[in-house]
Amino acid sequence: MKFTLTSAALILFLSTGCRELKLSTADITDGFNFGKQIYEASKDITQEQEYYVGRSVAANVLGRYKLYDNAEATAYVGDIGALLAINSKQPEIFGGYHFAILDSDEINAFATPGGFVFVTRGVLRLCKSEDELAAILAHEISHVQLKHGIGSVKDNRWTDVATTLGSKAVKKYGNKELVQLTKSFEDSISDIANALVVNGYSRSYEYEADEYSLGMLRKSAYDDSATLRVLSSMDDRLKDDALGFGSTHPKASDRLEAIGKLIQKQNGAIPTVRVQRFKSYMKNV
Amino acid sequence: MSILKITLIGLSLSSSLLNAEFLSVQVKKTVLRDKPSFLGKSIAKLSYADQVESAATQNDWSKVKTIKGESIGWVHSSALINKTIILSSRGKLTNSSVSQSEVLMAGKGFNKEVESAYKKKNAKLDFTLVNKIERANAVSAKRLISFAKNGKLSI
Repeated sequence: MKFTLTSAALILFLSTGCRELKLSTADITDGFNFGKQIYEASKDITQEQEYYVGRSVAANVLGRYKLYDNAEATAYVGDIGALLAINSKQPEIFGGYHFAILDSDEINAFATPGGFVFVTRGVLRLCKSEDELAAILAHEISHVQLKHGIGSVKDNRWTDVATTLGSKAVKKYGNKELVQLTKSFEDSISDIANALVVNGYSRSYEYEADEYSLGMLRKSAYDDSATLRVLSSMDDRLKDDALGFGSTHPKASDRLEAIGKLIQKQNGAIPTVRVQRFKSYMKNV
Repeated sequence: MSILKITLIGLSLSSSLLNAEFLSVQVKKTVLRDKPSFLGKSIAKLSYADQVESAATQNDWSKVKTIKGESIGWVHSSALINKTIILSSRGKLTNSSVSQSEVLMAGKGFNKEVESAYKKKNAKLDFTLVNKIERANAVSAKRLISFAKNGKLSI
């Protein structure tokens, strides 16, 4: 996605979450000008709305990839993800965090708005330890909390939504409003699905997620230098990859260079019990 | 008790009421706990749009009193928002002193109704799988504590 100044402004608004922004009473009127419509609409993306957007993006991801049927491995990924989420800045989101494995050899991972996190069997096989898998999941949880999915929606979608809703408290939509909202919804889902699966997020989003993920890794007592090791493995594997992660993410070597400076220390060897359970859950993956 | 003491208590009470911050639960469901930690014992269940009164904060946790049941306990601050959330079933906002900037209309914009219309237009998408993932991943506190402890991790 081309990163424009307008996108940056939108992200700034969205990064405030749903916290009240200081507007005068005069701003909250029916006489919105064009700029204010975008402002209000993007501000009004509540967690509830993110959740519904996320469900539909997840349905699109599952239209392209099959779910991997391995309850034990899925529960293990879910446990790591839940622990990271609890140790993050935003443990509570509208519908909670959900983790699933996609039955694909592609080395890839996705996170939708609203907390659906997907990892492929390919990326699980790339990881050599639980800590490396935690680094991948922490990166994806970071995309959720930093609202990068919503930030990938084109600005004019918010204008369309604002135009449909106005400033009035619509509770039940008329047919015309519902048709218009569904069109904006469909366009937003398409923008996010394209960013996730086809074009990738902007480089700045990826670097931001790498940096943000370190907090929850450290608080969970995972070795944050696992991020370096898994990025290094990616760099080796994805040099000539025109599909999947290699096509949607900045070069791992560039990310390594950016994040390398931020890694505080190596915590030493990973405890044996963690090594053993990783091997056990991943043996059939 | 002297008139002065009663007056002072009265003043102090009204001052604390004036300073009270009302917050709303912005997640589908969460739990009121007896201490500021996910390991705390559950005191009450809270649902989307429930109102609470903030009493104190500690790190990322808020000590709150529920308006409905008057239970007191701790909620992670990420589950709360400093706005009044109006559920459509609760009718119109009657308090004219609350401005629109302090109110969130639940279900406004992209909602279940819009999702249903989107599903109809995109019949090939399988939302049963999405529902399955949502149902499958509820990790209990007990399980998570044991997972962290066994793996020498922090919770």
